[in-house]
Amino acid sequence: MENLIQAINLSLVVGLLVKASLVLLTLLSLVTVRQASLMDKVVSVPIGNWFKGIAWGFFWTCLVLTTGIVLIV
Amino acid sequence: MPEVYTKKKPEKKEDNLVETVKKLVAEGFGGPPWRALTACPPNTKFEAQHDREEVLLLMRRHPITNLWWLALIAMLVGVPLFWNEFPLITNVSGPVQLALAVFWYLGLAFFAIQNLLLWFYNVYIVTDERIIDVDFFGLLYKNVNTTQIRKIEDVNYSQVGMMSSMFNYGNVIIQTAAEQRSEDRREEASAFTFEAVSNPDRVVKVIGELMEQEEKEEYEGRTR
Repeated sequence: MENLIQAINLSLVVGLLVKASLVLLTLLSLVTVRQASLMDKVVSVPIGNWFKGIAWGFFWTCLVLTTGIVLIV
Repeated sequence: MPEVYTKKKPEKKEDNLVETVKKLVAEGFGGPPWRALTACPPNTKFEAQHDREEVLLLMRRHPITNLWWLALIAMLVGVPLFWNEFPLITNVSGPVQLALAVFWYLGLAFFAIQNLLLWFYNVYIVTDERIIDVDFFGLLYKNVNTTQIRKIEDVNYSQVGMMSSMFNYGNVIIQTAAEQRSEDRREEASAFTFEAVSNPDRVVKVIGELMEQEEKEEYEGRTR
């Protein structure tokens, strides 16, 4: 028990919080993808696909970076 | 033999266009649909659009209204450069600092994308039959208000403040006969408030002409 308490330091706590926040942000980015798709359904304009592309791009960026940080840090 | 029945020719798009819309197109407002005010936007459709319904005006907030979040992002982008000034952050290890920076920039990108989407898709549409006010709030809330042109009772606009005078944008407030206001998260004067649209005087003129046209059609018994 004492070893466990000694192992807890600021870096560990902040690191865990950041990882949890990144996972949450990735989930939100997935919601954004769905949202962009629904918005484009309500009002369909030629540039709509570009916005969907941005949302997908952001989701994949989030996923890759989050996976990297969760596994490495 | 006297003609008993004559098949009515379907009305062309041109017939439904009011003079002001034609003028707007001639003045260059008929461009792509990502502008703040577009007359007769090409390839633009909306949910529950009728077969022969034509979009005359597509509006969204003036781009200058995005200045606040763009400026905020421009300021916040530089924050990680000064992290070494905060003792709490300097005490964490290098990899955690890196993770923190990644989170910071992804968060900023998320904020920017959200604001961009909300600006782009919060649109106001005027067709030859109806007006549509599409409001999105945050991630999971949308509110679409629709009314027939003939139900409009009064249209007016207001321009308040230095920015709106400089960039010629304002709120177009459309009063309808409906007693019950639809649910709306903003404190708007009417369920149909076109917020911060550019050239509000032109928009009011178009709606006014449409109202006149509708009244005329109703009088002649040509209401669709």
